[in-house]
Amino acid sequence: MTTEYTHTLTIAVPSTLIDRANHLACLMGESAADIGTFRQAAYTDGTINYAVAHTVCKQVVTDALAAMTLPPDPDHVPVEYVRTEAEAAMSAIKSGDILVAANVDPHAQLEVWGLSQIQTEEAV
Amino acid sequence: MSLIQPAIRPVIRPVIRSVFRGSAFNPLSLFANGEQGAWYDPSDLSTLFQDDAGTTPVTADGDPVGLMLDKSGNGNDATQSTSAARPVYRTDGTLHWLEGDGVDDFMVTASLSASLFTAGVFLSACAESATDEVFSGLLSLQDTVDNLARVVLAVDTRSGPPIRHSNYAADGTDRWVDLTAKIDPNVTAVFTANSDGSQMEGFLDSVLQETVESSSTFVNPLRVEVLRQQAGGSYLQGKSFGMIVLNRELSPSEREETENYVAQKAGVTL
Repeated sequence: MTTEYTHTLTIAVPSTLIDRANHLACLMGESAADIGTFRQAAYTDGTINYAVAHTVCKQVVTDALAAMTLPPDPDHVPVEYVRTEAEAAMSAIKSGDILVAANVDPHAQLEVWGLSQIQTEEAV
Repeated sequence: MSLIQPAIRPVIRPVIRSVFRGSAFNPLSLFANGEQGAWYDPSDLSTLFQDDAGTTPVTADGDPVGLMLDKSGNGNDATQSTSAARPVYRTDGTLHWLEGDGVDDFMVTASLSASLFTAGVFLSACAESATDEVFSGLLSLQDTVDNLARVVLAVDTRSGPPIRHSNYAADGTDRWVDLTAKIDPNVTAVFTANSDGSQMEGFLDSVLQETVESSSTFVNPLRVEVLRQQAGGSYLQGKSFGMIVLNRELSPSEREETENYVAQKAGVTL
């Protein structure tokens, strides 16, 4: 058998847009828990802190993002989901505030975007 | 589960022992006396599901993994409810592994009582990192209250020093087993931490690396985490071929049999 998950997405969301991006993630994702996809802004470009995600996805997702067209709300969206927030997140992608790249190595892409992990005090 | 166990154990335990005596090693034998822990085997597709509810099986190379069943009989299944954070099942037709992206992929179990791990801890996993000069979490027992790793196996491809192997930090004080040589990227190795409750030995490919103190006890409930050190960082970009967690120290022969077993899953002979 062949997987349907033939594409990948790397997404970087400014900390101020995390809540909004989570509504889009829930719409485009496959689980009610996707409303919490972006949590901690663990990366920075030196000025803005970003929450980052990387995922495999089906072609229908990359097609929708390429066309900047939102699909209908799926059955899994939780009660707190708001479509207008997902639409606003899509606008943020169009404006370049939310960074999205398909089918690339995530670490190389983060480097292209100038993002590096925020160092914590946790000793390793 | 608690209703079923008292009825099943007296029947199954003697059967398991008699079956395994003289047979090829089966990790299920490690749990024959009702030991707590978990055994994850990505080569067993019957234990992998795309969603955390277990309704859609993993069937193909590249499928995301939202549920990985625990084969130890303890029901400590590893799950990931967030789609983007699901690792991927990979196979080359011969070997099978769970692959993390090093960005946000990980899996986690439900809580386990801290009191279950007072007699000892055993962690073993066969894995490799795809990235050079990074520290990555591989398998850990994480505190469910402060989300810090209390016992962890790591894959450290940094030049160091230090080069980290495993850590015992039940009381929040790090007690790292360190290596004298870095782990090379894309090289499979077996990582093991074996504690009797007073000291922990760290093994790499079944060779003792260092012994550290492990006399402090856990306070808060714990959960098993796969492919990361703890919440917020140190995700493994690489492969994990098999993982075993146990709440007791293993004897040298048990440890070696377990390490050989997980190594075999990666096609490696120790």
